[in-house]
Amino acid sequence: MRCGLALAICVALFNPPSFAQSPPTPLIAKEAIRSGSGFTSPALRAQQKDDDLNPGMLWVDQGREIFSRDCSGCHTKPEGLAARLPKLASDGSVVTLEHQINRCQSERVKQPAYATESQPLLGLAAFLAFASRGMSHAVAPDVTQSAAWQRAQSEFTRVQGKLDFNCRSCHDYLYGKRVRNQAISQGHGVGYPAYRVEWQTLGSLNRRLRACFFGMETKVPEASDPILADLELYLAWRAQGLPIEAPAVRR
Amino acid sequence: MSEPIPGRNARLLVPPLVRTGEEFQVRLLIQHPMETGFRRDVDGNILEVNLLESLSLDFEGQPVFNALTMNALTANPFLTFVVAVKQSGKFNARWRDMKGNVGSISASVRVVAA
Amino acid sequence: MKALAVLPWWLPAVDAFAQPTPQKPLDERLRAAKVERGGLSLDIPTLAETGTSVPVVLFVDPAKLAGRTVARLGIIAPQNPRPVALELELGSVLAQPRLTTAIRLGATQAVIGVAQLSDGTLWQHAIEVLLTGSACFDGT
Ligand code: HEC
Ligand code: HEC
Repeated sequence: MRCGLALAICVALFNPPSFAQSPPTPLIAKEAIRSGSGFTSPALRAQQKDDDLNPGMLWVDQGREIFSRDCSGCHTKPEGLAARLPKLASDGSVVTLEHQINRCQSERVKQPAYATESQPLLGLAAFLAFASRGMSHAVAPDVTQSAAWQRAQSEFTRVQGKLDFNCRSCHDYLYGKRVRNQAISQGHGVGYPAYRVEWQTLGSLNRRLRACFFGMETKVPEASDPILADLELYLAWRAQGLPIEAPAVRR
Repeated sequence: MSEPIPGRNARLLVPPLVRTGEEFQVRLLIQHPMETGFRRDVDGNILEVNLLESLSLDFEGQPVFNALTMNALTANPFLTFVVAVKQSGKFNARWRDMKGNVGSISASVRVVAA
Repeated sequence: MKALAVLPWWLPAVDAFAQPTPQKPLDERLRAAKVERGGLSLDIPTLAETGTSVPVVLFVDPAKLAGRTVARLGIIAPQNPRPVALELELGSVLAQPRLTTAIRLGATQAVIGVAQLSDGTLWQHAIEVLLTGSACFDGT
């Protein structure tokens, strides 16, 4: 079922300042930065805080099993691996956690790469992100110089779709308010892969981003579209200092 | 490895050590889509109904609970109960869904004198 | 309580709350069942953001049991496509007649918790839950 639109309110609230030149620091100040968990309902927050009730842990368990079978020969410790991603490859493209898992899976474990959003891929990603809980995604000091960051910056600020929104409309200006009856967060990726009760399953940050494009009533990129990986890099830069809290529980 | 068999992954959590007669929580979490038959996939096809149709938990053969109907349990459901036992032993949970997939999990608790 | 054997055990409690049920009209035999309030508590948010997962706690006040035990716990959601949300038989290992879980709700409605005691008495507690949003397809 598609949701009906009730956007009049938020259009009224939305009064975008214009930028001649985009600032090289995230728009949300360090003191004001809050992860998505700060915006979910008390019930979901309780479910995330208690690993015994967090359905995402079922995926973590499975990822742990696969990791000890296929990966632990080279990676003695899972801690911190996920925090090094997303990163820039030498060709300027962005390597996300899921990309890296599949790269090791095909080149080093020498098995076929896992399908997008498949159970084992989500399991490994959730397990590794879980093992990096409390750490922050590493962000290269000169990341804003990269072509990937610049591509993402213009995508993040590009007004698009039937609603004339950009990512900022919701996540930099409307956080704390409600749009279509959903509490809007600052749009950070530190909780992913996350268990969303509306998906009724665990899903990647890539999937969450596609849902946002859908919400903007614009063309939804394919999961493999590099712009989504670029955005993941941009989000990590934007969320600097926020600890990884995957697998989060989201509406 | 392909897509998961519904109900194959689960967690059954009990404290490893309790005192005789002490009350403690048993938590059961099962990975199952609890498909209602009313949802559609991305291509608009109805997802076939597949709910858990039996689920029980016992401690050394003594019942904790037995579910008769689970129509509205969420996807990947959890159930939490408060129990007390007098001797060390094992909790066993078993379930079956409408498609005949079965699952089970057990967890041991050690009881020391109060 | 023998007369009740062929009918759902929770039905009188739902009828006492005057909810339309798929089983209406009710059989006279049901009127014999004792339905009370006060011993059972249904703890559920009165505002639910999404119907796909609504947390619930059902618990019985042990002081009101007076030697009886709780045989069954149920949750009825009359406006769900399948109104019997959950039905459990309780066993002897339980230290407290208490259940914590999460359910799906298809619409705004009065959700009814029901407990059946060992002597056949039914306790019920209903809470009106307002669904503020419905699950929506997000293109993924
Ligand atoms: C119409 C408003 C809207 C727009 C525009 C929008 N999003 Fe979102 N976004 C949401 C909603 C609603 C959620 C889910 C609730 C939340 O966490 O904010 C969400 C969630 C997210 C999350 C996950 C946050 C979390 O903690 O779970 C990220 C990351 C995100 N959005 C990034 C983006 C990006 C990148 C864009 C631009 C391509 C974008 N969003 C555009 C509404 C929007
Ligand atoms: C044969 C050894 C080997 C195996 C097996 C292996 N990896 Fe790797 N992995 C590496 C090396 C070497 C790197 C360094 C980055 C690169 O060159 O890709 C790496 C990097 C990574 C990283 C990123 C951390 C960083 O420093 O950038 C992750 C995450 C990762 N591997 C996950 C996995 C997973 C998951 C598996 C199992 C499916 C796996 N690896 C199996 C050798 C291995």
